[in-house]
Amino acid sequence: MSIIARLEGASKAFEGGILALDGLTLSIPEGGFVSLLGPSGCGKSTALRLLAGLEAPSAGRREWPGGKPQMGFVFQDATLMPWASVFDNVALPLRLLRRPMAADEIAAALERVGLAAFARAMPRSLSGGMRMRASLARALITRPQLLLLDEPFAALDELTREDLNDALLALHTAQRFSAVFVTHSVGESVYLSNRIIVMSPRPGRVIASFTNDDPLPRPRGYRSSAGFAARCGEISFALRAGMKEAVA
Amino acid sequence: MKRAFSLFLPLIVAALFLGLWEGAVTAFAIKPFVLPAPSAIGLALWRDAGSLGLSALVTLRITVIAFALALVMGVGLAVLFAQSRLIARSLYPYAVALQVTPVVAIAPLILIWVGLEHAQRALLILATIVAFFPILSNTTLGLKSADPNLVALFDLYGAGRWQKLWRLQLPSALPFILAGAKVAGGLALIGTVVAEFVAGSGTSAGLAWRIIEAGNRLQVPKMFAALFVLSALGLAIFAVLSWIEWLALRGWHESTLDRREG
Ligand SMILES: Nc1ncnc2c1ncn2[C@@H]1O[C@H](COP(=O)(O)OP(=O)(O)OP(=O)(O)O)[C@@H](O)[C@H]1O
Ligand SMILES: [Mg+2]
Repeated sequence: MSIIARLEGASKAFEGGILALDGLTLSIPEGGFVSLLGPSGCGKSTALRLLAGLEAPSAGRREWPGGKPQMGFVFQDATLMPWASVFDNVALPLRLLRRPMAADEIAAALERVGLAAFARAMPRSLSGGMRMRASLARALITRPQLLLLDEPFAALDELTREDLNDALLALHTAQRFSAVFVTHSVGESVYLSNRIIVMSPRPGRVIASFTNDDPLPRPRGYRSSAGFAARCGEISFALRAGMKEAVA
Repeated sequence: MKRAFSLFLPLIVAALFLGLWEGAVTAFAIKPFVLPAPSAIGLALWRDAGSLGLSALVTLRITVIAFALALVMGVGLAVLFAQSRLIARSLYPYAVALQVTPVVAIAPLILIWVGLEHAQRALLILATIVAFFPILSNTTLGLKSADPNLVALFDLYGAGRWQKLWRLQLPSALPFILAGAKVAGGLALIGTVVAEFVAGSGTSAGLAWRIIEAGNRLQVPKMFAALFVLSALGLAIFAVLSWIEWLALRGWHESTLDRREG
């Protein structure tokens, strides 16, 4: 499988001497769904920003083997422009890229995330889950090859979160983008991805990586299967081992 | 109901206050050139409504033009500052210096420069100087207040500086600009009146001149009437700007949330 983005021994030091990443190496395969797990402050967000080209590594390399991919980004907050309607928020990437924009294209994108009736609503009038759906629609409107998600559902309640996990997987199946999904939740990472990367506490590097070959998207009952529980146990163990090592 | 009450309350306070005032003036037989009774002021207001109204228009005209100039210059300069730190660093201290120098102190100089025959122009310049700083400082702050994640998103899509300015920084700054404008509206009026006082007789037919004139003739009730018109102007300016602010932010900004009910 070809690689769409890669970090090769990437380190990132910030002003003030904080070393956020220390020789992080990871590859994002085309069409893959990669989850990034790690304790708070280990540099997950920084890794995403490096992958996106929003920042440059202070050592090591970031590579886009097939040239700079079209990308979408989803943050922990929906990060919508509060002064613009849902329609205008979703249309933003096309406008910034000066691409021709068809209204029915936006309408279709809203339809896919279940917001067909809310094109003219202002973000303030939406629930947290609906805002996050709008944010997803915006990130996917350019048909990106690479979707980067930074703890997108962390602030949502459990049920909304599960709904959005399913919505995301459906979109992944339909649009075939590669995804990098940062999360604190072991269960979420197992449910969503076919590759799970566990990072050490700061400075972040890879301490374990797992593959999950169960086909995507996964059935509703997947979360209560024995296989799911076993994978979660394995990954939690690796995460804890990393924390202990750091304390010792 | 609540709304009617909140309108009613200041009116009750006014009625009480005026009643006490009227009573005190009569009871202690205070001379009208020391403190006129509200009824005497009301009478002066009625009698001199024509000249006071004309003067109010003169003052208002300069205030409004000065405010508009301050708005354009304040926002324009803030946008310029946002484009280059070098420009901001080198010019901002002078904007502050202009702000902290009392307008009364520079007024004579400006008058000499533009010539007494152009006193109106001097008033305009002085009022603009007074009004422009809150707009500059608020807009500068507002342009910097854009959500950093949105900034990252704009970078991700390769947005240029003008796209960022127009689609992100200016809308983010709008609540700040409007708050600054509310302060600037009042300051423009103050600046105009102070400049009128300094420019003095014959140069302006504004409200300040009515106050000086009435004072010279010891027509104290008329002085109070002119003061009353001045306060009314200030309140009207504030009300209009608050209304514009509400219209512009309605539907998206937190500050308009509570207005939705009631
Ligand atoms: N711009 C910056 N300047 C200085 N330090 C920074 C900057 N950005 C991040 N850091 C520091 O780098 C470290 C890693 O930050 P990062 O946001 O990547 O962690 P994270 O794994 O995403 O954390 P969380 O789980 O809390 O989101 C943190 O200690 C943070 O304080
Ligand atoms: Mg983070």
